[in-house]
Amino acid sequence: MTREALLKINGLKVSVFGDEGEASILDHVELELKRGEILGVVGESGCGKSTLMRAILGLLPQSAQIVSGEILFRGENLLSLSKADMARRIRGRAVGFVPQDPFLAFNPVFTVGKQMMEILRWSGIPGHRPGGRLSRERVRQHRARLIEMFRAVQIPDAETVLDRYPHQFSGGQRQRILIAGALAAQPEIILADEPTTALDVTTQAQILTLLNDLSDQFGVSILFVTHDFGAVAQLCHRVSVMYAGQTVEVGTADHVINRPQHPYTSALIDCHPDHIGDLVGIPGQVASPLSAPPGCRFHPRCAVAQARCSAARPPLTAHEGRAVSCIHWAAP
Amino acid sequence: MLAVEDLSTVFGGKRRFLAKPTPLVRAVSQVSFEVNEGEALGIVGESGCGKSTLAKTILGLIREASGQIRLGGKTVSGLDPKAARAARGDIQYVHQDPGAALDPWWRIGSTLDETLAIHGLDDKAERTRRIDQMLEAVGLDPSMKKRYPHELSGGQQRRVGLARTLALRPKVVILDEPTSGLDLSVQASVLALITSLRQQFGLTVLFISHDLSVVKRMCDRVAVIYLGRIVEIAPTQALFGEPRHPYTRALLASAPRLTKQTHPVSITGDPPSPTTLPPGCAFHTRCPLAMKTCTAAVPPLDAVKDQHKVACLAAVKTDAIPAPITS
Repeated sequence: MTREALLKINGLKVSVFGDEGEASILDHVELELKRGEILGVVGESGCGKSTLMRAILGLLPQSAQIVSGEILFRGENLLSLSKADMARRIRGRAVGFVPQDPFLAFNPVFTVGKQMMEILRWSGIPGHRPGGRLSRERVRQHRARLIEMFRAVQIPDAETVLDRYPHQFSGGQRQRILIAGALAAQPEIILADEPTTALDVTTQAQILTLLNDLSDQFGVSILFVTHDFGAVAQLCHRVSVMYAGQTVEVGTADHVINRPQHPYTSALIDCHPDHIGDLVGIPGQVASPLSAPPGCRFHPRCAVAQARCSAARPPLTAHEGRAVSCIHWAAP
Repeated sequence: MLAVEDLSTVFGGKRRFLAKPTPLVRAVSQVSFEVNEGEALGIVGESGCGKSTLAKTILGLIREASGQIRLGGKTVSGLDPKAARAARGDIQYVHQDPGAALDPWWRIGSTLDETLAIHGLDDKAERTRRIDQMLEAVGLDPSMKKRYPHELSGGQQRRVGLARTLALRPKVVILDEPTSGLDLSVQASVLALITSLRQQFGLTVLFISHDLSVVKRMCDRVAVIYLGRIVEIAPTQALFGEPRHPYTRALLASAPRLTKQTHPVSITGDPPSPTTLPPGCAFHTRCPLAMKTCTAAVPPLDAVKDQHKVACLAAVKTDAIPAPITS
């Protein structure tokens, strides 16, 4: 693929400084999302997936600091933008967000319309400045835009959705409504944080198909955060694997799943129940960011670790669309 | 070992003074199956299909509306809840969320000790000995007894849940979603542990899950449930190799596999509400093979092959079914 990079993250390091010292939540994170691409970010709990999303949206908690690195969106470093600029131009506008749990994302006492209009009041629709009171004309336009989006995400009776309450929808339908809300502002990127984890398999498959269709239809790029290699295999073009806050492997979904190069990726894929052979798990536990092991953070659990693995972190070296951070990766 | 016949559980439907009757929900309808000694039967279905209600009915925590439950040849149904639980002491349950099932104010050791004490083991030294033995069996150090639940990781909490259940030396264990919410690497080690415990203690297992890949790996036979009824039950190989019921096929096609599928989605929509079940086969509203006769009556669970039973008019009539959707 030679498409331009829409979002590029270089050497991002995010730390929390507390009484117990520095805890680096993200370290040497590299990421490139191309236009129209669906990129999977895979990792287990605590690997920094959600912190990465928050960093992109400019929503890191106050305790977290960006130590180094840059987040380039169309060449512009988001980390140097003012809060007002982030709110007005980026968050919800150019970069949409689909949360993990459709059951927690809604306030049960307001209609879907009231909540969706609130989102649009701040993110705006194409050609409108966000914020402020909405004129009657603007409300009408926003409603029309939302109904159009509800049709795009295939919710039955799209016209009546705005006047109903969240409990009147199933989990799958709520997730569709959230996707419609994220799409309404015509973003260039959608960040989807485990959007299928809380759903049943048949619904999950429907949402994955929907995301794929929408990406084609609207040309929107999707950053799909998940812990499920199965979902990655079905949906993503490329995948980036994270371990303990570091990017350890990047490649096409097919290559990474079928021919993993990093020992962590291959151990994780061997844990998938679909994998042929015995399930063993990975010995030990994910390193705490407070006491991250020196060098490659995976070395204490790695079956092929050597003495020099603890000396220095192997750089993420790229070769033919594949990048791996491991001393055993022989990039010519 | 465990046999269930025509078991039904209903909620609501009661008329109270001056109040509207609560809607009647048939959570489990006419479910029949047998589990042989040492066998693992998987129970698969989506949320709200009645998996957990079925488990709780078998345990005796919810009273059955009709039907029979036999344990080791003895009928243990038709009793009031307290007597039912006493008669079914050989059946034990491992909770879905072990974090919520452990008392946050109690050390692990006290929780395990109480379990044994409640079940009438009066000798304190014997209790301690058995707790140590069980913790070791599930791969935990006996020093874990001094810890509080919040000090344990998710995987360790599951192990404690298993230890607590196994300490009672049950014959039948019901595992309710034993790996939901766990990371892949932790899930793999918990599944490996369950496999080794089954061999070590010769357990008969009811394995409740929504994850087909896990069930395929762990179970000898599988029952698929849709809105409270078994729609298909078969040995694992037959069910995954030649699924007959359209719902089973849709489930298999939907499961996110590591190999990319060509026809990922085969059914649309959501299951209907259990308070207003459609007439006839409950799946006909979403079924690609639905015919007029599907709405007339609930199709019986008929054998299509050895041990392979399906409740579908379309699947039973024709032996030449369309090729399975998954490879």
